[in-house]
Amino acid sequence: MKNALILLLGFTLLRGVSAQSNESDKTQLYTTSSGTIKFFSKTTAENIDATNNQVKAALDANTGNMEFAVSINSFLFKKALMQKHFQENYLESDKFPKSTFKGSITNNAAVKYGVDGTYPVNVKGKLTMHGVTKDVNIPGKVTISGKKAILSGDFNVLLDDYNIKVPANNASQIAKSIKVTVDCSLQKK
Amino acid sequence: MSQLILRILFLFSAITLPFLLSAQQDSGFSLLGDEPAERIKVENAFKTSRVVNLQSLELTDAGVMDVKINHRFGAVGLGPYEAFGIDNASVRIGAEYGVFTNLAINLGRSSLGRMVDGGLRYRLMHQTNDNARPVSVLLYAGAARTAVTMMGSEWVYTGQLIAGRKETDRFSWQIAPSVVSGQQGQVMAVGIGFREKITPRTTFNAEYIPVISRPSGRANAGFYNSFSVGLDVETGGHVFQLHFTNSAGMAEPQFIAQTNGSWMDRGFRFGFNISRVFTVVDPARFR
Repeated sequence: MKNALILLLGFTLLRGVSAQSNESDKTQLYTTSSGTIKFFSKTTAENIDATNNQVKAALDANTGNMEFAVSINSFLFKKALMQKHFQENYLESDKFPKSTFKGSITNNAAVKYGVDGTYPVNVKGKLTMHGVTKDVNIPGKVTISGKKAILSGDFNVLLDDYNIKVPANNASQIAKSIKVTVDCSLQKK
Repeated sequence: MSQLILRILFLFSAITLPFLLSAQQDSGFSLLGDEPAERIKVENAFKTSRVVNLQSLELTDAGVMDVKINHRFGAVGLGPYEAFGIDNASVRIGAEYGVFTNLAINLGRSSLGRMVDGGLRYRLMHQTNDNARPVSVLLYAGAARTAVTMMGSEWVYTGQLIAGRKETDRFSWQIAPSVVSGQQGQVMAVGIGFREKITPRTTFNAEYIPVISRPSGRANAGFYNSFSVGLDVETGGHVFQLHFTNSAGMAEPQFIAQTNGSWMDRGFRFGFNISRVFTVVDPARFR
C-alpha cells in the first residue's frame, strides 16, 4: 500500500515535471513591467497627453500571443486636475482600475526572433477598458535587437466605443477619438 | 461594524469579480499570470479641500494653486426687508498652494472681523485600495489674527487632525478633532463630515462641528454648533459649493468657536465657495 502510494506520488511528480518542460518548450516569453503607453487628445481648444511608464507586457515568440496590463492611475498628466478628472469622471478608476489587451500577431511567422531587424506586424485581439471589451486590429512593428523585442504601434480609440461620456460643456476640449501610442521594450526570459 | 465589513467585502468583490470573470473567458492563454493586486492610493475622497467650511481629506496637489472665493449671505431670518439675507454678505478670499506632495499652505482674508488666517496642512497617511492604510490622516495647524478694532487684536491658533475614509466611489466620511486657542481660552470640538456622490460631477455634503468644551464667561456665551449642508458642483476647472450654514465666518476660529446663528431660529444663511485651480509648477517635478 505504502509502495503504491510512493509510486503514485512519484508518477504524478514526474508527470508534473514533464508537463512543465513541455510548457517551456512551447512558450518563448519576452516580458516587461516598464513599458510605455501614451495617449493624445487633440482639439482646437486644448491638447491633452498622458504617459504611463509602468505597462506590463508579455509576448510569446512561438505563438505570437501577447498580453498587456495597464493601471489607469499610473497615467501621468501635465496638470493634476486633468489627472483627477481622467480618473474620477472619465475612466472611473475606482470601478475599473485596469485596462488590458490580449491578442496575437496574425503574421507571427514573418517575425524572425533570432535575427535583428524590424518586422511589420498585424495584431488582433481584445482591448478592455472602462469595463468594456472590444475587438481591435492594430498594425505595428516588432523590432528585434539581441534579447530584446520592442513592440511599437499606434491606434485610435473612440471614447463612445468604451462608454466614456464627455459632457457637452467639455466636448470642445476632449477629442472623440484618442490616439494611443505603444512603445514597450520586452526582454527575453 | 459588521455592516462596514460587508460593505468593504462587497466593494472588494465588485472590483475583483470582473477581472476573475474576464480571465476565465479568455482562457486561451495567460502570459502575465496572476499578478498580485497593485497598491494604489485612494484619491478624490472629496471634490475639493473643504467639505463646506471644514477642511476635507483632500490636499491641494503639489505645484497647484487653488484660489477660493467664499461668500456667506446674511441670515435667512433677517426677513424680506433684508431680502432674507441677500443684502448682507461676508467674504473670504484665499488661496491654497501645494508645496510638496504631502504639504500645502493656505492664506485668506475674511471681511468678518477683518481676519487674516493662514496655516499648514500635512498629510500623514494616504488611504490605499488594499487597506494596508485604511484611512487618510491629515494635520492642520493654523494661526489667525483680527485687524485692530476697539476690542484690540489677538492671535488665535487652530490645531486639527482630519481622519477619514473613502468607503465607495460615492461615499466618503471624516472626523476632525479640533482645538481653537486664543486669549478667551480653549475651545475643543469634533467636526464630522461626509459626502455622497449624486452624479459623477455633483455631490451632497454635510458637516457638523459640535463643541465639546468651551471656557465659561460672557465672551464665550451665545454660540452654537456649526452645521452645514450643501452641494458640490464640478465644472471643468471650477468646483462650486452651494450650501446652507449657520456660520457666518469661514476661518477656523470663526466657524468652529464662534458660530452665532441658530438653525432653530432661522439663523442659517445661504452661501457658496468657488474653487479654481491653476497649475503653477509642472507636476512631473514632484514625481
